[in-house]
Amino acid sequence: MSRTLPSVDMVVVGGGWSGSIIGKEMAAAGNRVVMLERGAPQWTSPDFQSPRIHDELRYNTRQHFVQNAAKETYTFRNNQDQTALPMRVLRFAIPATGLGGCGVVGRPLSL
Amino acid sequence: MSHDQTRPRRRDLLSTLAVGVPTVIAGLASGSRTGDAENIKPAGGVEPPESSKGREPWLILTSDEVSALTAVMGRLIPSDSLGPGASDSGGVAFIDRQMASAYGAGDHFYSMGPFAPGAASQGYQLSFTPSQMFRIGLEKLQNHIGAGQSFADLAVADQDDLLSKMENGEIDLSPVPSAAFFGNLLSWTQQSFFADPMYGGNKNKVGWVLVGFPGAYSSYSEYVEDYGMNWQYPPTSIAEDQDMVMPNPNRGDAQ
Repeated sequence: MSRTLPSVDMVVVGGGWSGSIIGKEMAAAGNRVVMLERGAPQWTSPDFQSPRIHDELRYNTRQHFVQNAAKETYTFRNNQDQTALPMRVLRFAIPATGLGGCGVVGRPLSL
Repeated sequence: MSHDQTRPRRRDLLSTLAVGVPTVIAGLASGSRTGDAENIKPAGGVEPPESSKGREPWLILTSDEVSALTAVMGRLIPSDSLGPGASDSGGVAFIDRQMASAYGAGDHFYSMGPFAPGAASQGYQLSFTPSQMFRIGLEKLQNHIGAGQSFADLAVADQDDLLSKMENGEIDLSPVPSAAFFGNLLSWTQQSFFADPMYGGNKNKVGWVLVGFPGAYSSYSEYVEDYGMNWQYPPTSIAEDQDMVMPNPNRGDAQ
């Protein structure tokens, strides 16, 4: 099902704050730019709106804005003597998910 | 539990701190001392409607599970002179709802194989969803105690002893490792007590009042220049804060 898309000058991976600024500047400089975004749309209102955003269980404890390991995870081992196992709950190297995730979760994540 | 030495001291400390927020704590203290959830008066003095009193409409828990969880959570965060503990503030309802939720069904963790005992750095490597772990764990705990009595029937000292052994992985609840089950029990008990009341626990914000947490005020922008002010408002929940505008006495607003 792969298909070859028309060639462009720049591809920006991730359409949040950083990617959007980069894409805007590159386009303004005369480049043809494609932006890739895997996350579902989410917006300041209502997705990040107070007081709901203060729900510590949903957002902090259960990491609503980070990648769900049920859908996609990685295997890990500390050294070659161990057997690599899937990380069933992400504990480090935690990617955000959803449009603008890093703008929302712009801090070190820990579980 | 291994924290037996520290827990009373922590609550003593909270008791001392509570002197600093007299109005709220006093309001709570007028409620239950008996450990009976139905005697707890909401901070605002509003009585729940008669029809909502009494038995919870449990979503998934059996009556035996409710009984066991009520006793377990009553030991992990007990009711005492500082106010209601986890069981008396809706903690069991919190667990009931969590078990019936997508989270309880394991929508958040990778549940396919291969399964092997991992290193600590590899984190959770069991196949049980949270809901499965609670259901199996409680059943095996009952089996361990034996026929004729339940966890709730045990003397408090025996309940604590059993919980300590679970915490240290010293009793066999296989296929569920007892330490992992205890960890989940403790974690969900704490979550019930400190999460927003909309999840069923922390009823009347007793957990937040106890530790002096202000709750889910939307914004403090009115106060951003009031350095060092003594925050003296009772906590607010997410549901309560939807349209709240806070007065600022330092600017002459009416209270």
